[in-house]
Amino acid sequence: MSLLVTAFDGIAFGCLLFVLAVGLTMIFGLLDVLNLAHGALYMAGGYLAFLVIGEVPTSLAVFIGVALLAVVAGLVLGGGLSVAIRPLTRRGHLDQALLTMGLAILLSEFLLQVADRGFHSLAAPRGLDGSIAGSYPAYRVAVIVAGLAIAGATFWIFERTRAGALVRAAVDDPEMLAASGVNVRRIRLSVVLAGCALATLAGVLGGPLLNLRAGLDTEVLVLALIVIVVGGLASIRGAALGALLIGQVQTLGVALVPELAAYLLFAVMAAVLLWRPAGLFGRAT
Amino acid sequence: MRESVMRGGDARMSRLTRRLAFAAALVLLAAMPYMLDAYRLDLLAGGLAYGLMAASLAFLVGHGGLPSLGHAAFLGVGAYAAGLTAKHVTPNVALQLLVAIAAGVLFALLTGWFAVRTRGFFFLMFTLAIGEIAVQAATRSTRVTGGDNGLADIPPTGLDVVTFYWWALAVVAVGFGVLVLLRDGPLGRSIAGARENEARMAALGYHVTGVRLAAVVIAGAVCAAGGALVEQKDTFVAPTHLEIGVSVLLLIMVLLGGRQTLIGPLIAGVGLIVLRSVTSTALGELWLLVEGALFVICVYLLPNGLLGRRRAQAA
Repeated sequence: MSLLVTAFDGIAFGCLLFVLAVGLTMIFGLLDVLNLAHGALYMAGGYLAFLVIGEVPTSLAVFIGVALLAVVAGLVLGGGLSVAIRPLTRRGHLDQALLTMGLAILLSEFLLQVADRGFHSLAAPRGLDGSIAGSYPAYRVAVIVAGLAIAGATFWIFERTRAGALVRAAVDDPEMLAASGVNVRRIRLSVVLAGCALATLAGVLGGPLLNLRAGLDTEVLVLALIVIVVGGLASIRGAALGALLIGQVQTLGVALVPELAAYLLFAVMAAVLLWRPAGLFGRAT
Repeated sequence: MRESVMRGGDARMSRLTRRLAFAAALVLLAAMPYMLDAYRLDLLAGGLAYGLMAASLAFLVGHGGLPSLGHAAFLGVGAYAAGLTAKHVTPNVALQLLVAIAAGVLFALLTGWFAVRTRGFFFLMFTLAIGEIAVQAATRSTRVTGGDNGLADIPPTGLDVVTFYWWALAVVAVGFGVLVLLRDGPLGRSIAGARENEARMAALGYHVTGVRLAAVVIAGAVCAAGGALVEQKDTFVAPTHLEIGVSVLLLIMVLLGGRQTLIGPLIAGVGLIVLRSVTSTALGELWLLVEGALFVICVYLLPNGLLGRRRAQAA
């Protein structure tokens, strides 16, 4: 029974990871930029919420308001990121990745200076701070619902709408798309903005689950990276499956074999890379 | 000295001149105990250790074309291996160093075996993940590593500051020499070949994966040696020694010094460690902001580093 609860925790954690990883994987797919600032963006969302509402429970409306504020902050930061990265377009992938890493340090250190270096956590909003079915925290169920809703919306946009079709086309063949008169740069910009906004949103969602602290940015960044290594780059399906898998490894793994949990992540990643070097849903390039 | 090593990065400089410059710099460094007080000497020993690790990373990133984001893991492996040996086996610093190097080689084989099979972004992500997993492993294996508190009660090396400085200098000089000789030798040329044109190297009959793995093992072994020095200097090691921030610091040294040279990152390493220490009272935790800003500036303005050749850079 307790294992079932842990597995459910894993689903909640996986949903959170999906919200984070889906932006990372799409920014990569469209821009060929590995955004190592994604963890810092997550952290920015969390700290923004902490600075606005502190650690006390608020009403659901305020919590959602703060989440929307974080989305706006994500859009702004995403705009800054795409401006910052533009001069390096011709300089190769490593330099771009390194730049995002430098920006990540700046952003996360700035946040730690504005707040402080101690541990903080957001409280679940009132109404969701109780438990469901006897003892399961309601907020985790809410995270699962929110994660599924975001996943559903992402799938729907990508598979069923014209905007999604344009984005898919921009991943597959940007030259052809540009030749057909579509402004590819605008598509790229909107994907960066959306991906960054999802990251800051994830930071608010995850606030009551993961403590805000120094080093949080790297921790979630690495988990998101493992998710897309496992799932395959630029694949939403892969990000979803990878997130659920890594969510289980991180929760069930820690519960069952606490000493080996760190190595378990490595083992999963190594096994996938050996078995399918491009990830479970990745396309060989 | 600075003048001579600046030209050390220049390919046109003859081998003889370079060796002379290296020897002169070594003599000057060896004479430092007569010029500096104990505190500065200790600082310089630490700077040299980080410089050596930066040079090993430059070997991997610049020469091998393998951009690792988790190089500090090797620092940690070397430091913990040396610390555990000191605690449980022998006070002999040379034996501790050998154990650390052996551990570095093993760790490089274990992780590199997977890592070199990945390309481009996957290599970046994989090494970053290995770095973070190493931190978690060091934190969670409380019984062996002491967890978050670090490996405490390591017996002191028994060397005084001056003797330890000379020991550190010798290790750094030999380690750096090994890197340079390997880079300029046949193996180094195959590593460069695997970086420039993998398909052609494979067609020529080279085992490209093996060549890349060799680069990881060399860099890992040398970095572990530097890690052992860090542990021996302070007789302490904790998970903070292998955090991503340390990998980033090593990368800044490489970028600042120029990723196509080995001497550049070594000098930048010494310089940054000294700078960090000098400014630590004034800056405190703001140092990390400075570090981030330095990183961004390096990427924007110094694609070849301060000492790098102004040649077109291979992607």
